[in-house]
Amino acid sequence: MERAVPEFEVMRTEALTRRFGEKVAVSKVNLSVKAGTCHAVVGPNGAGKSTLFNLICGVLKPTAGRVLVSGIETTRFPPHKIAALGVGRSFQVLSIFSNLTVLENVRIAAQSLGRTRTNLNPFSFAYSETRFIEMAHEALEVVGLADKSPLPASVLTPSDKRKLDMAIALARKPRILLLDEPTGGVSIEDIPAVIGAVKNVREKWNPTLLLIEHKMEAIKSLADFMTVMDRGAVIAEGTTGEIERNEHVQEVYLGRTA
Amino acid sequence: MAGTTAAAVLSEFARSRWLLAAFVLMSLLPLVYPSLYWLTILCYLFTMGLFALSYDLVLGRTGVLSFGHAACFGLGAYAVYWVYLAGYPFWLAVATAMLLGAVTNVAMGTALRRVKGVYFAMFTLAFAEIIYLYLEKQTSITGGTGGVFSPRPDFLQNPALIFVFIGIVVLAAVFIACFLVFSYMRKGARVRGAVGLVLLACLVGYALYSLDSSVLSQLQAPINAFTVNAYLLSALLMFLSYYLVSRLSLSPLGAIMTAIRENGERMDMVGYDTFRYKLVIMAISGLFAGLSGAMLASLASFILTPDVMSATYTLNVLLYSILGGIGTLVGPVIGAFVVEFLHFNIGNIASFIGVPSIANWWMLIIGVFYVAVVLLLPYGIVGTAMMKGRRTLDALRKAVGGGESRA
Amino acid sequence: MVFENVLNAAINGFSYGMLLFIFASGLSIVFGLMDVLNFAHGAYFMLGAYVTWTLFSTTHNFVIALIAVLAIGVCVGAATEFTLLRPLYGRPVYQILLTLGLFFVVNQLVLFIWGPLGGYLGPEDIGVPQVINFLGADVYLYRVILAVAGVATAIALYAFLNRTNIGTKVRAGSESRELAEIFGINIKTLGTAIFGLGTGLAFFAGGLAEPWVGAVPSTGTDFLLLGFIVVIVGGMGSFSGTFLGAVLIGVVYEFSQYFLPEITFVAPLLIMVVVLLVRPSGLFGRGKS
Repeated sequence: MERAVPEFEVMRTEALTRRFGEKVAVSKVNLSVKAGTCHAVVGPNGAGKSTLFNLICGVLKPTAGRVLVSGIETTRFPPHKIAALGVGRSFQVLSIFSNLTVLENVRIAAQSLGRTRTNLNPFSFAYSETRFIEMAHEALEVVGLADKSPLPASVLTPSDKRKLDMAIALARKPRILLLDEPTGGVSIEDIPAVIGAVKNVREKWNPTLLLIEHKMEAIKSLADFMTVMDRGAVIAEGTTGEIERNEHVQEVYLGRTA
Repeated sequence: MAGTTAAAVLSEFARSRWLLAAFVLMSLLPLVYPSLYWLTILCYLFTMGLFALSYDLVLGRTGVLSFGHAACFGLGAYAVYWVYLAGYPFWLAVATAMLLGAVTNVAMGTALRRVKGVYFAMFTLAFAEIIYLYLEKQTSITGGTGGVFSPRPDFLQNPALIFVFIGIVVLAAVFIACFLVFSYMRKGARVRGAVGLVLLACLVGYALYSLDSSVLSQLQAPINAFTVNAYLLSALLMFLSYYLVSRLSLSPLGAIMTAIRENGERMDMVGYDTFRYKLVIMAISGLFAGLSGAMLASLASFILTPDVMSATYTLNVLLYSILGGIGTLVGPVIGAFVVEFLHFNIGNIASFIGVPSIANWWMLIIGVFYVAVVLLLPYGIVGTAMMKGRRTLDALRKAVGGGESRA
Repeated sequence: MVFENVLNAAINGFSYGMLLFIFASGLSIVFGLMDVLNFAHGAYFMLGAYVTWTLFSTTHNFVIALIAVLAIGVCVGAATEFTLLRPLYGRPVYQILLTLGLFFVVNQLVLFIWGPLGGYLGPEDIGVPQVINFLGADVYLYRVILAVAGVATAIALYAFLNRTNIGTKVRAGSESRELAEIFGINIKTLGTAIFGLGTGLAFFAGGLAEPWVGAVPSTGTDFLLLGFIVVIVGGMGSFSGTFLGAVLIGVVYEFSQYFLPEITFVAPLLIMVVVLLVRPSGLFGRGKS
């Protein structure tokens, strides 16, 4: 895959707002994500980062504002339609298929690319379409789980489950990858492996990355741009270097980060 | 091109050899043990087995809790009554039954857009109960609580039809024989092939030997011919449906069903329109439920009452599923067999163990049994056996030291 | 004549609604905390009616019988939860399936113990005249008393939930299990207590219903269905919702009985279907995801 021209905007939100009764969880967020970059969304707990992701992926509908993916307005789209546009997402709270094997976890995600006619044909075999199995192997290799593919997902360690969650999101080789706290629940020794996996993905497939992260080492080694949120609103954005030097951000972060 | 299709068909047969063997076995039963009483019961067992199978698609395999399955079943039964008695051919009546079952299930399934989980279950219960309560009052078309005479098709009274069925069975037996011969010729499976062939020959031989003139003359009577034909037809339909459903499990749709059961939200996020897939599964399940209803009306009953649409039958099918083991496909079928078999014979069993009065307390016994299974055997009889069995098989294989590997 | 019918239908509707309210609040509280739809609730209602009948036959005091049956109900409920539902903790579908089986077993047990005839206790037996004359119409007095008793119970329940310590815990648990755990509440013990309370309410409702509906085998199923409808229409977790929903369903039910018997059950069911499709969280519910 050739390196995408950085100026091309793959995703944008315009004045995205979400209210829950009286409480405003996300307030007039304008986000612009350029192709091939890694964009981190940071902020203290409760800043609205996960809600923002839910709005982008179609799990929640915004009270106001728009979401555009590759120029197409996806504000009212159901989650599967947004996924079909090449948006993949991993979850803060693990969302895997516990009773399936590691390989099947990822293979079934890849199978979503199958034509509906094949998917509905009762006389074809699920495993005869080898390309999905290959895609699954690729995704598992990138995150470093290839040797564990025949195991049932339930026996994995929490760090490995986190990698599996990511692999499921990677199965379809998404052009835009949303990672919700990829190092969450990962043991200290394994964090470099997870960060390495994300770097690997960038190198091999060059997707656009949108990242929610707390851990500074992950942010520093991965993010090109940062958007800082607090209490639902954006308080700063810019390149990683700029944000690091921003005093206001340091105040907010150091003052209220867990 | 024809070569690959032929090869595909043959490999399908090879894969389903156990199912075929069971089919052959059950179909030769009327010749070996011609008891009309048992044939009638078995016919009913096959019908309820198919009903249970159709439910497992929804609950066990896809994880959708529906309490309205009896609506598809009952409407299917009555569809045959309405269409056949209106003068249309039998096959059309059955097709209508299946279609009606599918449509009903899909209609209920559309609510999945708005309600999920327990709320959806309550919705389906209400939906089915409304249909039942309404139709029960329409005595002109359902016969009210007294019911109507079941629409038993005339053509099944023709004794010559038995030979058509026997022909099908013989074909299946021939295929099994070929398979066994083939495996005999393969170096590794000599013993298995030989033993299998001998058993098959004995079975078929005994069956044909039992086919003496007295049996044949008895079969001339329409009522006897009907019972045997109905039994054979129900066996054919059940085994065929089982094959189709288990085939479905191995297809991409089957993998999707399992994944939806495991984590429906993630499936949405990954790109599947799970709502639409659930509707497809409801439709397929409804087809088979309608078919089993049609079988009940035309083959396995004398009187057709509206309570086949009521929650009682939904509870029955839940019972079969829990007992057998949800999600295993074969479990609910066996659950149905066991429960209904016990139900028919509770009187005999009770007398045998010297407490004849407990026959009246069938509901209590089965209720207690059901509670015990939910508490202690959540995977059901077959489910637990499968888990233990896998471990035992592995242990056995290790003990025997490699041995013959199973395909 | 019409006035009498309408008046009776209205009174009956309201008092039947009160019975439904007491019954349904037990169901709602249990579902709120434990995500378990307790099918056995209907059978417990019936059991409560039978036990009240037996208690009255021995003590000849209806009020004592009612108090006793409430206590018995709480114990039975707690015991049920402890032995049968706790082992299935974390698997709500199996818990629901278990309560379904329990419904059958209890139903059959009642038949086994008391036989198929049931016990009917008329209002006169407990010292209340059957009918009184009000504005020229014959009105069933017991049902008026029942309505008053129902409102009293509603007030007591409201006070319990909103003014006592335990009540607050129950409400917190119903809202969110995580919230309750944050407050340091032992969820498992709370579950047993709530199930006990819910079952006690079912028994109590059954006892109150005895002089009206009688202790007959089919009451359990009818009440269960209507109870579910009330909970869904009113909204899971909403006290006022359950109250108003119960009154609505009660009135619809009684009016159908008086004027259009064919739709007696169909009307409430249709209301439930409509509510589920238009406002799944119920008319007043705060909704549980």
